[in-house]
Amino acid sequence: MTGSGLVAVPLLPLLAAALALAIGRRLPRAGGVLLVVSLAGSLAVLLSLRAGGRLSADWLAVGRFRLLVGLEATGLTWFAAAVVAATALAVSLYAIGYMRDEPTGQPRFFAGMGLFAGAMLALVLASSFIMLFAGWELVGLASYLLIGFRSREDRAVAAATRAFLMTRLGDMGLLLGWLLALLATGTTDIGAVLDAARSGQWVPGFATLLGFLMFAGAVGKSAQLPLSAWLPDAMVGPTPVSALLHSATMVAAGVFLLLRLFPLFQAAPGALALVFWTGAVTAVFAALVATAEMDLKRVLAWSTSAQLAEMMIAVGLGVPYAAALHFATHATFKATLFTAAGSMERQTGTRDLGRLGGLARAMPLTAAVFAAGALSLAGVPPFAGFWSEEAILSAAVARGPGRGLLMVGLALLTGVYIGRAGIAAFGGRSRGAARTGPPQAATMRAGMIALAVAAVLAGWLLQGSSLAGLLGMREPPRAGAGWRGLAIAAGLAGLSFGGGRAWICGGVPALGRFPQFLATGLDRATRAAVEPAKRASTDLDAIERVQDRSARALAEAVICVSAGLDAIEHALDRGARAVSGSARVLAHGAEWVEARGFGQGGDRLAAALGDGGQRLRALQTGKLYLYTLGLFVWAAGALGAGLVLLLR
Amino acid sequence: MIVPLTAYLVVAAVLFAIGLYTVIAQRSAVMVLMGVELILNAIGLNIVAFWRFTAPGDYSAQIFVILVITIGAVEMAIGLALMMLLFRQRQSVEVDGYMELKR
Repeated sequence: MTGSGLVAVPLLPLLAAALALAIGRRLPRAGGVLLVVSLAGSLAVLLSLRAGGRLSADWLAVGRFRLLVGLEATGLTWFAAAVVAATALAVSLYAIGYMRDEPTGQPRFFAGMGLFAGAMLALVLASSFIMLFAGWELVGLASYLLIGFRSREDRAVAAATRAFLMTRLGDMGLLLGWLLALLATGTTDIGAVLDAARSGQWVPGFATLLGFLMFAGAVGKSAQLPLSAWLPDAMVGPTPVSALLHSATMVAAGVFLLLRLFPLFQAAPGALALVFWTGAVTAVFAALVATAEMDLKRVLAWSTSAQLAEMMIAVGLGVPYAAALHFATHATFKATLFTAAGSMERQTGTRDLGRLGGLARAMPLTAAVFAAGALSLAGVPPFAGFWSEEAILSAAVARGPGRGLLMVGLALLTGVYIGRAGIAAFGGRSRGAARTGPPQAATMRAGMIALAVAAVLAGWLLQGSSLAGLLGMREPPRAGAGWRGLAIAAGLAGLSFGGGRAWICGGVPALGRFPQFLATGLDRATRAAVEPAKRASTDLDAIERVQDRSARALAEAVICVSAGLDAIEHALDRGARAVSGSARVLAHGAEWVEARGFGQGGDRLAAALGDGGQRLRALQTGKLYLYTLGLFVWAAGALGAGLVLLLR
Repeated sequence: MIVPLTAYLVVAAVLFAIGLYTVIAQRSAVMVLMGVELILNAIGLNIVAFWRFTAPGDYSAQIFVILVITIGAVEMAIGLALMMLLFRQRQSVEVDGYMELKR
């Protein structure tokens, strides 16, 4: 069995999580070390296994349905798991330092992180829909627990609930999708379902329907429109949570699902078009909003939404290779940006772009790390983001100049918002926020530097035919030099525009305030969408009341009937009592007869017999001669009688 | 001279009567047993006399008499053994003394 080691990959972080909770009371700081060690173990196991392992077992077989559970390391799942484990490793290393001064709840925090990483590893390695769905829901649960980590703050609780419920909307689609696939194929094996989709044996609309349903799950998880409002709110969680949630674990699950099920989407062009357009609209919207946000972490959150939308665009264009590459590079540079932002917030106590400024001198390492992430995000060569964004650009250009221009525009917007955020925080004049916090822990620095190095090098290391071969996907034909140059120029122009404006004016919105209205509009729309749901639920409540009342009436009728039955039973009971009473009387009579009649009769008979015996005893003299005489008299009598009879 | 059947029968009847009287009248158990013997022999004499005078070709009567004599001998042995035991117990052979069954 080549795949038996695969079990260890998701299990190690989960075990670490359980252990962190178990020993948390005695060793509150051990959880982080445990988590780092377990993730390093997972990564080591994963790297030693290479792709190709498989481990599957029947969980339940009911009729023609076979429910499987299992893990599988195909090229894609192995690659995704490696990205997840590596990113989670660096982020948890950073988290040890970040949480160092947290007074309470460290075991809870690291247990949550372990659950988060373990569930995500189970999700990406799953070979069956059940396992994938279980991982999917566990990731949602872990994100809920971690976003609401500071559970005494109302905002944290509200944000956690919102994230949980909004992603749940999409999850319903995924659940319906895989149940429908189970109904159609009789198995939950992802490979078997994909084979069925490839073979084209389904009616044309069915694959499209499945695609829509699965995509609904991806929209919720990856914070695409219209379910993207939860992501910026989720920023109230501790920064390591944000770094993990935004890079490799939570939101990436949506894109990963599309990549995993790509053959299904290939069979459903309608679903692919929907993926593309959702991605395009979300990318533009989220990038615009990001230019106007005043909170550094919210800028990064909207940027995540936009970057995931770019991956959606790549999938929608039919080039999963570009999406997978961007999945990996985005994990590195987004985690880098978040760790830098967290480090800054920890030392200045704020993340308001209006108050930050000129911090590069006070914290050069953080500024350098942030710059590496930002340049990578903006697609500046040779940083990681450049390679993956170029792959997406090539895919877009291959499908027409309009789509190419869309990507160039997105590059420009990306440059604007990240340039503005970076310069507003680290460049220009100081605007009040100063370094007051404790010096950074060594583990924090190590995590940040590791992520920053990855954000610089990952794209160059990963891109190319070897990755495409591993994933079993086609590289898109490279776009012309003109397009590539245009995209780089757009990124640089955006960076300089956003950065320059921030340098001069501080953290004001880069493109005016209108994108903020977009954000509040979405917020209001979300709320408005919630209202009918609320109303519907109150209606349901009323219906339920009616049902309740009818159920009550039914119950009362049943009680009435049962009372009637009770009366009948009483009557029967009384009858039975009478019968048994008379039987008793009879029995008494019989007893009396027996006692007086038979008993006394028997006594009397015995007495009479005894009396007779006594009297008969008098006959016995005990004199031998009398007996002999009697004998002869009797014999003589008998003979005489015989003689008389004979002579007559 | 031929002794007629009637003479045999008379002798037998006398023997029977003497035996009966002995059983009834004698107090000693030994004498009672001897009376019983006389009765048995009277019967034997009767049977042989009737055989000799009515069906001399049939041997069954002789066999019957031999059986009676045998039974008489056995009865005598058992009776005398009982008497011996009774005499050892109570130093008496008076039949009227054995009255334990009558209370």
